[in-house]
Amino acid sequence: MNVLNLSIKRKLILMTMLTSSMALFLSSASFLIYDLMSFRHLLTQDLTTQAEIIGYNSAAAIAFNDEPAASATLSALTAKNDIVGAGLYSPKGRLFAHYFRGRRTLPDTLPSCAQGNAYRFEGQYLEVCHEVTLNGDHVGTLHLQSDMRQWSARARRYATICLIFALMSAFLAFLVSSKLQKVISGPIMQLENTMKMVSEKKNYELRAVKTYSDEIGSLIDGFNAMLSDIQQRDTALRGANEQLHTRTRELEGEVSQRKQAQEELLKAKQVAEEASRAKSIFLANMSHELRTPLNAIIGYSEMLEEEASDSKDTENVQDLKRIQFAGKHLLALINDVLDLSKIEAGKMPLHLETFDVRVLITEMITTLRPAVEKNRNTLQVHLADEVSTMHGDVTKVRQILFNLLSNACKFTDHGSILVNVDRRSENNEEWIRFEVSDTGIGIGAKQRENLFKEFAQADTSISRKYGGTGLGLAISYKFVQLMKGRIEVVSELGKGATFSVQLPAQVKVEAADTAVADALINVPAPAPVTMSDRETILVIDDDPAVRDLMSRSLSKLDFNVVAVSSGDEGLRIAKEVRPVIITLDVIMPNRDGWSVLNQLKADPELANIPVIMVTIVDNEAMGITLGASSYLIKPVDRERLVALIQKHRINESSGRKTMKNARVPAARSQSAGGER
Amino acid sequence: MPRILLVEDNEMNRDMLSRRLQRKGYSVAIAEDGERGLSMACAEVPDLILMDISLPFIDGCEVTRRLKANPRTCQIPVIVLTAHAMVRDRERAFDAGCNDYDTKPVDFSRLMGKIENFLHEKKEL
Amino acid sequence: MMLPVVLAAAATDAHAQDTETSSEYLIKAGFIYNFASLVQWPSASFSQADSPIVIAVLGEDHFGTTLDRVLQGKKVDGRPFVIKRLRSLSELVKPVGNPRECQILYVTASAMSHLSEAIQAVRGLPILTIGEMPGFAKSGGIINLVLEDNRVRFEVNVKAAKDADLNISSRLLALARIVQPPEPDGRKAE
Repeated sequence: MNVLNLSIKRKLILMTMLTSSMALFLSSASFLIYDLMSFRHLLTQDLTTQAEIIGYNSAAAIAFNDEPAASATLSALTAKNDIVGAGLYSPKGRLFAHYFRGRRTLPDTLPSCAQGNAYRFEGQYLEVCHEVTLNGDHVGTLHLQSDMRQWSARARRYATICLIFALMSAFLAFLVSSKLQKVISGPIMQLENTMKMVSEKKNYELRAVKTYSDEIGSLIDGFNAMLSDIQQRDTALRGANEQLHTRTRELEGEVSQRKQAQEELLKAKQVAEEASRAKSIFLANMSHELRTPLNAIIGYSEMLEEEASDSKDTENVQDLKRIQFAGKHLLALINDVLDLSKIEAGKMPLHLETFDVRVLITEMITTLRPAVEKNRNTLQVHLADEVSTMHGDVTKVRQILFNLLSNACKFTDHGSILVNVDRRSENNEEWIRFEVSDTGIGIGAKQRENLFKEFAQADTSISRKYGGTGLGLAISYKFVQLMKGRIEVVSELGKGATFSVQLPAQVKVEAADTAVADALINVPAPAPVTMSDRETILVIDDDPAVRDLMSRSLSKLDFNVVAVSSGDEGLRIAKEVRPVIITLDVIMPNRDGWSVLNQLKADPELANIPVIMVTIVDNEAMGITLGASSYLIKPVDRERLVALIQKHRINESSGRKTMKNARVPAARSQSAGGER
Repeated sequence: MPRILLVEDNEMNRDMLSRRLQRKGYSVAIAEDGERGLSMACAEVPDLILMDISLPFIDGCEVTRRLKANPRTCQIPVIVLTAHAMVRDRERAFDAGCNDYDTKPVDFSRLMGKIENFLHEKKEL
Repeated sequence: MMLPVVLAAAATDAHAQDTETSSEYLIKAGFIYNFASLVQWPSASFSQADSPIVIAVLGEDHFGTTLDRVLQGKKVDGRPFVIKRLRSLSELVKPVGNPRECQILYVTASAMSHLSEAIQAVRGLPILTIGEMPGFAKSGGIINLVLEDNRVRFEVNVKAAKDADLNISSRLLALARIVQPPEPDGRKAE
């Protein structure tokens, strides 16, 4: 029990009692000692005096060698209870006469008593030696022994008294200090109580009561001051808390509102996407549906024409030619209309690739040679040397050039057509310029206004006369716009026309032109954006050949491919790299794909990444149950894989990234028939 | 009479092409899909193969690859017909091993030219 | 008599300086010294403060040199001792009337025949008469040395002392056998 941890009350009482006991003890001890010391001295003196008297009285006896007389004298000592022995010794030190009380014996020879008259304390006894003289002659030595009983008795008495007094005063001290300590401990305990109450009930209005103006009083003052402080702060805190709650509620309201709005937007987006998809499918279907019978019409009529001409059936040949012509015209119209629809629907993606411009031009010329010669026109081509390749949509460029050139051919008779291709820099960018000039009928001012609009051919008579759908320039115009280029015309009625098209040497695609759905929602990315612009696909497969193949195929599609050989590594890399998609093999050593899939879906960081199972095992149900987004069976149809990846990417990117360079490769799944 | 194997899944296209080819004096064998095309090519060893790219089950490029991988059929010139006109498709087709390609809808005279070229070459060999 | 032996044994405790076997007379000599220490003479006995204490020995001196030896150099109250040997009683008579001439009269055994004359001679004078024969004290001598149980004891005639105006210390009397002069009715207490 640690004394220092007792209550104040006890401590104070103890302290007081201790102090007073010590004082009492010290004073009584000193008195006692002094008294006993002086008593001892007294006794010594007494004994010495005794010795003197006895000595004097026995001097004669010794001198006269009267032992009995001497003994008789000594025996007078019976009266003195404390003297236990007396011995008279001859000058030579031999015991002459003795007296003793009880069993005490005396040494036969005089014990060394210093010299002459001396005393000493031997054990519990006081011994006194006294020279017995007669007429100044040393006739003997008297040796007295006292048991100091008086002294012991006295000491004992004293001790008892002291003890009693000590107890009494301890008791008294206890009583008094018990009462007095209240002065100190009272206020302290009160303070303690107050503190307890405050902390238990959290009631900061309480105050401790100050009784005296001592240090405790100022402690109490300080405590009260602190309480006021706390009370203030508490109130302020509560107020702040309330405000916080209110604000939080408001914010929650806002957040839920926003969430709602977001949901609605998402829904709208989904609807829009659905609509868009529907449109795509429609267009694709329409495209296919329209072209297929037309191709049949054209094809069969060609065939029949051949047969007819072989059998010299000229009438039928003419009719069939007409059918063909009408069919081809219809096909052209359909193609153009579809193109325009696709452009309107935003479904006309740019398929960018690097191609050789010369080769393109050469092709075109070859194709158009009949058209050129039809109206006895001449064609000249100037290709600047710096023009080699460009990075753009070759189909569209081809279409544009074809349009321009066929127009030039159509509207020129016995004239010349010039094609000029060069390369120039403007605003730190490289452009390829295509110029098609003709010496044809030219274009009037009014016509020029509407030139690039649909059905701008002033009237249908022109299309009847010159052929064409009237949509070509509108389409070309839109294509050029898509590629962020320029198209211009310089012409005068009757003086021919010069169409110039300027396209970037490196055509770029922006998401605004393509993925309309993405633009609907501009949600900031919570997930970290990958360092490079390219998205990453993680391939998990233990077969190095598969990894190699996937890497090459997918990186051609402009993905950053990371291939690993084990599920564990895959999990680790997935966390680091955050791929957009994971392809996962099932049969792997150490850890099979199911286990990896489970792990991926269990990890909140990775669960949202679509996983395409690529495996020889046919267990699609299991895969889907476990959370795989798609399931492909080896050997994998690359187109299918790519299509799947695309699909997942579009789904993913709408929630994850903004304005991204989406390099969407050709959606090949769409048509089996012809596409322009 | 040179024998041409036509691998095309569309009935009308098949009909048109085969009849026109026949009129031009070729003997035409028809396969409706890749598998059939492969087996027929192996069996008959035609002088030329016209192959549509988009076939069910196995696509034209794959068939081409297999044809070129098989010593029995690797010598047969393959002309691939594709609806797509992009450079990449061309590359894909050539990667697969085809000897030439043409676009659809078919410009018959152009196609004829290409066929005759290949058959002449073969004759010269 | 076993005296020499006894005396020898006792002599070691006796108030004597030398350790040689002492005779009876050595002890007696010591006693005489002691008596001198314990008896007070009136002031008239001495002319001066340092006047000697004269011991007159009457009769045949059996002390030899012992008495002289013992008393040599000793003083009582600052008074040395002088020993006179009386050849005859008449020498004693001479100093009659002059008590300063003798303070102690030692009557030897041989002079006992003249005891009564001797006593008579010093009656009333402050002279300490010491004898060594039985009956000395009864006859008026003050101290009589007696051999008893091979020890030297002494008797004291208190009346005689009083008559002689001598003050005998109670200490001495405590050791002595008090001798009462015979009562007129002849009863004596011993």
